[in-house]
Amino acid sequence: MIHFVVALLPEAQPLIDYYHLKALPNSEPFKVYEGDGKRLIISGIGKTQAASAAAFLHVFSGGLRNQIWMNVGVAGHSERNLGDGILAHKVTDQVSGKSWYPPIVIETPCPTESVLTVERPETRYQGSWVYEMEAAGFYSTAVRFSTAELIHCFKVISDNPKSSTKKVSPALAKRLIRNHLQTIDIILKRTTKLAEELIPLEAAPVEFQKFLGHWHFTVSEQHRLRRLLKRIETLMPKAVIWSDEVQGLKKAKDVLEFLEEKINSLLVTL
Amino acid sequence: MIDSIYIEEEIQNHPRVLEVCERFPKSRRILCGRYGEVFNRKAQNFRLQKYRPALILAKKFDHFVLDVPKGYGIGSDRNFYFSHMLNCIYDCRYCFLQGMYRSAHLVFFVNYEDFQAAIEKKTNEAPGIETHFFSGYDCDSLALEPVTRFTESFLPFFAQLPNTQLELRTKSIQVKSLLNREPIKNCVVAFSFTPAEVAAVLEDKTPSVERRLKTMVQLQERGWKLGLRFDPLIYHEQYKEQYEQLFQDVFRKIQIPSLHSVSLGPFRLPKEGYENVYKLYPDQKLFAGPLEERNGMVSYVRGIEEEMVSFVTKKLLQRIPKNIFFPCAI
Repeated sequence: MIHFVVALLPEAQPLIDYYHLKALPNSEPFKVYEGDGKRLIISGIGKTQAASAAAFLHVFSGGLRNQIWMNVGVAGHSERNLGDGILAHKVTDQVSGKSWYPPIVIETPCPTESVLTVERPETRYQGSWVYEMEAAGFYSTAVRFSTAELIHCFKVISDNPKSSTKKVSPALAKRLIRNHLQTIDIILKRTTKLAEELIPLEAAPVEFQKFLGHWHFTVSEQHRLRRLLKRIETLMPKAVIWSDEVQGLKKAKDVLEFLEEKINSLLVTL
Repeated sequence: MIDSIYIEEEIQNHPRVLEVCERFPKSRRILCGRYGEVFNRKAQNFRLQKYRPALILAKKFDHFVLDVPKGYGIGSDRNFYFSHMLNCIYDCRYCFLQGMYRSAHLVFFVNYEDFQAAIEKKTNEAPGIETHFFSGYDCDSLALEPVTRFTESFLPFFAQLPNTQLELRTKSIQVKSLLNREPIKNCVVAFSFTPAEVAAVLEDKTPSVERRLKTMVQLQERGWKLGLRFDPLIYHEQYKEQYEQLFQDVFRKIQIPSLHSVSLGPFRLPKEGYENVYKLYPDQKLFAGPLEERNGMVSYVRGIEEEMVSFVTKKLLQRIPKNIFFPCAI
């Protein structure tokens, strides 16, 4: 599942249209949209709002770990041209001075930059930062739910010393984001490939539930069972574990010993 | 090869930092406070980062020289290690580093002079007693040599340090800096090996066994003292034939007088490290096989381990004198 956190509807609308997202009922106090493996939440302006929205969306989506997260929005810059699309390689909260460093593990289709999350719209553009108002709140929250390699902040430059924030209209914000939908989509596709690598690693062994239904395992025994079944799956992907011999065992402890012995008796290959 | 370089602000103008940046003009440069802000933070995935590890240029402040655990060593009772780098460009599935760090980024400590001062101090604490220093514990000593120029700085330093021995441990063929200079007497260039079939499966991105051997021959001809490290020993059905073949290949090319030491050690990981690695690679047969925990270490079940160590020891001692053989005593 891909989670978008976007401050305002004009910034979100191009994503909603592009991915055919539909508004969901019962998502108060936020507005959540969904479609084809993606959810988008309108957070409102500011890092606190972005953090709250990310936390809400995580719970709303079932609390799944290691999902893809992306904060999309417009931003200011001292030198960059209006319309430039930027992926964050560093996010700093101006107030606390704290920084986060999204690992860039994919080949990026756009430049990367340091993002500074400010409290109020930036008008002086003193440093070479991407100035915006949500990324620090978003990132510091999302990284509690997912591994950092799957979390990104994508910003499109909407204002600079030559064109102030006052000129950023909803229509301009919409147009700027719309111009970068392809780039966003490439980043998401490449990140999805990474995320897919994690799915089988976290999946329960195929026959885990059968075992739990047949015997009573304590919590620590369940961990051991899960590990033993997974190991057998790795060593012999086509092995029939749920055999008559196993089903004939009386206690959970016997089952665990049986599986342990099975592993130790298998031919060891590379 | 390196897309991202993180640089600690304090050292952004250090000559080694400038040199590295010059070498990678297209890499993105990201300033950070201390390397710990980037490296080894929670919510990082070693497996995913291994696709594109970044380089972190940092300054080390303390713990420059550390005690080597008892049981390791190649002939001295006084053993220390130091790490100018953390992590490795290679991707060996059995490596303990992947269980030790959450991050696969490569940390390069540029303040060599501080390491050297600490090494000198350690040496002076026991004058007259031979002290061994190992450089390849938390990284491959030579794999990133063109970037770090580690030997260029440390070989002349050790050359004038009496009663010391430096071990460079590697799988790399980056030995130009060694071939271009006179060997120093108190340096062992030790190469790690598993059989070619094992290396092909478990040692991603490393030079082949054949290329490593070719490199050893070049060093041998130049007069460098060599080491052989069969650590970890990897068990599987054909291990006897494959180790036999490996030893035939090695000792056909490497002459005994060139050898300073030969060591071996069974596959083992600290319990916590094993748990971390297993979570990253539950699909890896190496971690799913017949392993057990003993004294805080996860290794092959006792019968397998004893059989393998005994077989490999016997085969080695048919070829080398006992006084250069140092099995890991863990």
